Amino acid sequence: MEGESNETSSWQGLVNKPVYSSDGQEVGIVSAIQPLHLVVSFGPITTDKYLIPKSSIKNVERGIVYLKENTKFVGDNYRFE
Amino acid sequence: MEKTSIDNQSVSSTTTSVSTTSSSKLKTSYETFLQEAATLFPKVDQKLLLNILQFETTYKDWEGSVMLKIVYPATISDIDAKKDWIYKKYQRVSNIEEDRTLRFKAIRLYIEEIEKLLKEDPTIEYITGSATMTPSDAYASE
Repeated sequence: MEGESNETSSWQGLVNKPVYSSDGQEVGIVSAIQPLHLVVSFGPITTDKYLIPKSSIKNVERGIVYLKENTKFVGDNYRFE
Repeated sequence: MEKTSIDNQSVSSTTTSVSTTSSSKLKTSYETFLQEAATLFPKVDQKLLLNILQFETTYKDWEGSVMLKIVYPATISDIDAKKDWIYKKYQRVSNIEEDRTLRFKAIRLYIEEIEKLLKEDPTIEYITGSATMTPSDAYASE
């Protein structure tokens, strides 16, 4: 992630922040920070969960996390639940 | 009289200092512990890991009841083989979710077992789930 260190405290600041794919679609909200991934959840009842590698984060700007990949790629490769 | 007042202030100040030092020390130890957990088990949901550890260490008779979700890479082609492998190990039929996640409930899933799972199958991408106090399947899992 550009402009972010790998310190736990800086990653924890991303919890509850929205995540957008490279084509501008909302993927969900960061629900947990894991050592290698971000867990992103979408939907209030039947929640879709995405396991997003930290290396997929392009940047964080004004409290929004932007990914390097588009919606299709994110759906195909990162959704796990 | 004035001397006593000064002594009280001195004692109070020392107590605060000791208290601050203790809390700082405890926070530092905890942060080091969390960092170590992340380094030793990078593929495991840290909340699950800490819950298992807490149950294991607090309740010596805890049965290791865990609803486990094993996530494989999206490119996996033989998820059914993994399902069979889990069945052979735990005699539990797991559900397949999103063609890459195996979800099942088992007992005796202590931290050593999680470590063993990861060693036996290095293709596992991530392990999550929830540890529960209830040992049986009588209650719905999340």
